[in-house]
Amino acid sequence: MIRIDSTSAVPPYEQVRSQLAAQIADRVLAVGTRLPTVRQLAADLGLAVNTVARAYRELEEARMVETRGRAGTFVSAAGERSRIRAEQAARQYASTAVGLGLTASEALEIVRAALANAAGSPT
Amino acid sequence: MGYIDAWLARHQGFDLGPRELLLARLSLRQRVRRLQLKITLPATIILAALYVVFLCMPPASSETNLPALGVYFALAMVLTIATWFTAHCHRTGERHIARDLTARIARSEAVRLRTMLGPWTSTAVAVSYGGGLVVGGVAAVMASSQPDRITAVVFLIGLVVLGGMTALALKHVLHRPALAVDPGSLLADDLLRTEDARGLAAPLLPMLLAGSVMLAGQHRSGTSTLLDGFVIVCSIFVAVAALKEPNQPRVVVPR
Repeated sequence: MIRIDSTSAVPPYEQVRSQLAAQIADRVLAVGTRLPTVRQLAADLGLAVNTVARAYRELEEARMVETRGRAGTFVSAAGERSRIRAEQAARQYASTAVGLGLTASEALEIVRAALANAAGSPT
Repeated sequence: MGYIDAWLARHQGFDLGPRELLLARLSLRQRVRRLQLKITLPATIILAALYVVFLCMPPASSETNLPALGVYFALAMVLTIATWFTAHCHRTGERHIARDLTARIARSEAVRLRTMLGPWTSTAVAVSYGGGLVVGGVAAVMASSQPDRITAVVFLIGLVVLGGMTALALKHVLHRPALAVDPGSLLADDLLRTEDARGLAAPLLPMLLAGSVMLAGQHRSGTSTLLDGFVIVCSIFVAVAALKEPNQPRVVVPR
């Protein structure tokens, strides 16, 4: 379920986006699950339609959901595949780090630096 | 025991969210039900009396009692208008309740009609409307006399109109905003929505329609035998659906 905190400093669209993203990542929402329509979710949460539409648009850009015309918005398999690939890469990195004799904190520090570098570099 | 007490007793032991919100919703529904009864009861009594009077009078030119059918449709129209009017009052009341809610939560999955109705009720609906169309179509094509054909066509038209109105009303129930502030009130919202949807989808109107046109036909024929069979099959499905799918919470949440 999605909860909106009207007293929070986080904008409502970000609250909707982050909660849906977390549920998709945690597989609470399985691949192929149909999300409520933008209008339905906006009415349920007492938000403007554009607010929910923006959250859905950002999820779609992140390839976590896909819109299939009039059939609705569904949790995308692309997001699931990305997660599986990331997990495989993480396992490979972990075994390499262990093989090289790195400690867990050293290995995590390298990952953090790499993530910071990736986030800072233009795409 | 009033409507609110009966509803609360039926769902005792479940966390259904803040008591004030639940009571506000239930008392709104109680008011709407009373309003509907006030509108429909006098109209139903008058039109039912007229219907019986016309049925007792022998038809003038044809074997189909058209005045009785006319009264039947007037009754259906009054019931429909009353349903729409009270649904409008219900919507307005719920909007007022929603305005006072400080927090809102919603389902992150789309609600499916079949899931809400349950497989047995869905089957009963499909049998009553889909089966009714097949039975009416066969009766209209195979009719051996003009009155038989008129009876079958009247049944078909009535069924299409009823089906359309029911579909519209169900669509509204399915898409109305959830009034929930926590998981308990979301469960209560689910229950009320399910009750409304099952109440609307209950295939009693097609059965009533079949019974009425049979009576208006006033003689035994192939058409009335087909409609007899239709009513019996529908009754079985309705009874099984009522037994298999009582309106109880699907998720047990201890208090």
